[in-house]
Amino acid sequence: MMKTNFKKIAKDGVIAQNPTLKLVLGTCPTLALTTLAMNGIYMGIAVTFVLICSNVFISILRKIIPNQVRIPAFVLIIATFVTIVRLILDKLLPDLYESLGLYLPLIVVNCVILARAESFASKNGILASACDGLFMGIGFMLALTLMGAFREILGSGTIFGVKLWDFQIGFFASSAGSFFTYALFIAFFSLASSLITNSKKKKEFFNERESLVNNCKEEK
Amino acid sequence: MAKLFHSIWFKCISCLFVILLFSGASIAILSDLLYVSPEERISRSITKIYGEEKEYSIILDEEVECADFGYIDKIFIVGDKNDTEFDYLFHATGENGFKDGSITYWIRVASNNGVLSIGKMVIESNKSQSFISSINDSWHSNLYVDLQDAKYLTPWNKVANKNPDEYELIPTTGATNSKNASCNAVNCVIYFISQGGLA
Repeated sequence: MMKTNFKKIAKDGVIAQNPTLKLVLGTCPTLALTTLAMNGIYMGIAVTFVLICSNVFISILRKIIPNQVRIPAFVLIIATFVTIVRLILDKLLPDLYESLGLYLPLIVVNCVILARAESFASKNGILASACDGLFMGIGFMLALTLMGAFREILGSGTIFGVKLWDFQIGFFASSAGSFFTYALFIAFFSLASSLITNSKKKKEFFNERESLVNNCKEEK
Repeated sequence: MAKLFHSIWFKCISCLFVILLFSGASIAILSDLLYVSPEERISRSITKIYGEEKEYSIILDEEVECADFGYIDKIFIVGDKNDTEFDYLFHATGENGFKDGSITYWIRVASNNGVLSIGKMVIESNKSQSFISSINDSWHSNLYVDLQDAKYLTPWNKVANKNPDEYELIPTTGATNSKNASCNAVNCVIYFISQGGLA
């Protein structure tokens, strides 16, 4: 049995396979809710909870659900957990429930959750699936919070509701600004990823060359 | 018959049915445990408007049509009616919005020695108002009116006329139509009071 690499799962979820900035999944709440940094955190918490629970249950049932009906079964399980989240938030955290609004029930059709159910939870063990759900949710939350903070600082002059200055660029608070911000973040993320990957490859190349040179010297 | 029970389609349908059963049962149980009563919702709305919980009493709990503006379905008194200062809280729905939709408000009407004025408005819900984001606190503050001799509001100016039959909506942008529903919620309150509804 293959040993689960939890470090790789964590790294993939937050950075290497970030659902928002790398896989470009769940764009609807990303564009609509990133007007405020707090909305990013709220949405991230809700999505993380649904991801963990749905991944765990799908992993438990992965050998029972027939392949022909796996997608409807996954959607049923995800919809159940989203409904549970809605009931809990409406009862215990009504302010959070109101600020998420329409985007809370839309978590059911959030591509991040269905994609992870299909590509990971249905093929891996319970603990690994739970970790994948957790770190994918953290990656989603981080991306939304950073984008929300960026738009809030430039668009409203506040951060987490605290006023910073009077300077505001209305463009970043608008829908067009959300697309622009998203494109900017994807571009920077890709650039940073490729720079890190290139520097790693360079390092490996020089290490290999040095070891070859050393080997040649020893033979002489 | 045995062949049917071993068929893949039977397994598919029964799997989905079992998941549905367990999902339905768990949601039913949790709905009961986490039920939010209408009284609790009203308390939440009052907390949102006043910043704290307040005692209230219901004086109207049925739908009352207000010309073509919309309708009022709840009126509360917040505070003691025998005091010189207390509030009426209207649950009013303004119609004729964007795509013929509506906006439902909690409207706080302050009574100060018999003088009535709108103090605060909070949106509860809306139907089809895609331009609801154009309706913000700044817009609402423009709708706070002295209700002693109020005239009906329109989105373009604060004064239309006193006769609801002569009120006419000129077709215009989506955001203005949404603001029309917002104005109509206040117009419901103006109409109700002008017809002696609070007497």
